Amino acid sequence: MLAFRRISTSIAGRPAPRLNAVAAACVRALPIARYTQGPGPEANRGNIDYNVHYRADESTRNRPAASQSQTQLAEAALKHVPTMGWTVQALGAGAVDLGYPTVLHGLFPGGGADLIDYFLQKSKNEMRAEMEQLDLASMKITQKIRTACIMRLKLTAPYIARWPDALGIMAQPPNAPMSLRNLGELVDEMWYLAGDRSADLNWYSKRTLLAGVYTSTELYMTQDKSPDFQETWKFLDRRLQDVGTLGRTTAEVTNYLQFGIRSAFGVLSSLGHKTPFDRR
Amino acid sequence: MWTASRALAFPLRRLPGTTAARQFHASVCVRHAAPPLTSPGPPPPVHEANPDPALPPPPSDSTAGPTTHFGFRTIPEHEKETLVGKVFGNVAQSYDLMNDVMSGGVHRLWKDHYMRTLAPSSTTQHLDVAGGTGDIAFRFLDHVRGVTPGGGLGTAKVTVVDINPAMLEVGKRRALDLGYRDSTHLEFLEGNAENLHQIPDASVDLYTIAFGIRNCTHVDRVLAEAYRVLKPGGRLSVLEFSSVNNPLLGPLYEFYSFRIIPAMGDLVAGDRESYAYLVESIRKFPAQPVFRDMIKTAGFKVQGQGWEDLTFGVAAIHTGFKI
Repeated sequence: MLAFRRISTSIAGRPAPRLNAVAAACVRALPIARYTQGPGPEANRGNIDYNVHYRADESTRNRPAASQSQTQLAEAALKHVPTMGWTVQALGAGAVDLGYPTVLHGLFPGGGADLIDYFLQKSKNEMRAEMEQLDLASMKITQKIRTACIMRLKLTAPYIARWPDALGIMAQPPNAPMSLRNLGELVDEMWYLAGDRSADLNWYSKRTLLAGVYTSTELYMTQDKSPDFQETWKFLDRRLQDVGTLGRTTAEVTNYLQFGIRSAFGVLSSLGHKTPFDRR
Repeated sequence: MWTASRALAFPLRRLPGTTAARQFHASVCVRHAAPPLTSPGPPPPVHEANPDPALPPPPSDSTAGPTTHFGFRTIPEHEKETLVGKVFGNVAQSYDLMNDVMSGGVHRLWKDHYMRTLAPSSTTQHLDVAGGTGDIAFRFLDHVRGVTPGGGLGTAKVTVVDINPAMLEVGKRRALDLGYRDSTHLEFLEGNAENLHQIPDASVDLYTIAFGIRNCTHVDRVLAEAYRVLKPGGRLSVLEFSSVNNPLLGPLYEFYSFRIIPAMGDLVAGDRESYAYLVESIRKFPAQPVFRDMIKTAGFKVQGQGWEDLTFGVAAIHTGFKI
């Protein structure tokens, strides 16, 4: 009997460490698994800080900033974008301008997409700097949003002939996270400058609506042949007007829905059901 | 699981070509300098560091002096070059065929991607080290034709340096087949990656070494030479086998490397030892972060993490810039 048990444990015992090792390897491979335990007992749950001054780019601002050589190369390359497009060739030409061989373009491993990324971040920061020069306190919210949009779009103006290429590159699936991040950060920056400190569902709807306005205006701008993009600014005004109407409608619809839901729950609670609105 | 692995491992252990058997064969080959069985190619190269490859001291007696690895064996440093030379002398004729067979053709995709990443232009001065058969050089020329308006080569030039004349012969023959008859755009040189005395300082835009650096005795000297010959702003790019860190694919890759590749080498090229060496040398090569730090130590600037994994890290492209 003892011998049998020994054999069985030796057979059963052997695979166990291996399975453990495999399981441990799997756990290591799945970063999510590490965070399933939640905050420890020392976590101070009462001390949650809702930072209404949070800007969307704060989470990404800690990314390794473009090195000095990268910045130099990108600035040199931007001069070649109107002729060569958002390409590795433009980066190579920029490198030649700096006195380096064309293969230095490898500083931006993503090629054109990385150059676009650089341009979008740079333009957002320039827009912020210009806006902060203005007397924002005396302006209305719509006016601030309009000014911010125009300021930002004017920064794209020198490259407008090549901007459809950029939109094409940004729409490619591998680059979609990059373009969405930049768009998100841009509209958030605009709302922040406009003084928006909302911390409710409005935060999302405002940004979504402005993203729609901004991208459609940008698209219109690529086809605009009027002097100084007059037609584009008119287009922008019309879109902002639409959003005003839409925003009011959304608010009304939300109110209406809320009223309906509350009444429905009221009926249920009067019939003796527990509902989320019970205050007892 | 336990029984299955035992059952699987048992017959395999009895296959010829275990480490001990390999060492025995290899040392016999070295001592008598037996000619390769299938390869009608030229004899292995004779190098000044070890002028008589027929009589190197046997590996077991060589505890004195600096040593290095040759596959999983430890050998005196001065022997490695000769032994590597022998391996590539043996495999030169079937090198490209074996690359296709072993990688299922994926090495072509890697090399294509490699060249797209490097994206040279019609002014690029390219030095391809350990590129005897011209795989990278011809891709370079094709890429330059593709990006130059009119399809010309401009002033682009690729210099192929290889220590092994047998490999260079294969490349030269292919160059003639492709119509490169003079040395304006393509040149073959016999030379050592650790001492590129034919190449002047700061004369090269792009330094590549594809699947070659792990065979060099002193990787640090190779990197130092690369730094010397590159122009300011030039790019070092190393395509090399690396380590697979995926816990699911790692063991599979291990099995494939140690069981299947030597067997295929035996079958297709009739040379088990050379391919066993190739696999062992891949395992001996430093993992991605370690090699990245070696590139940094040589003085190169590394952007981001410094490498790009290909096929889960089976191969990796390491990049450094001289800025």
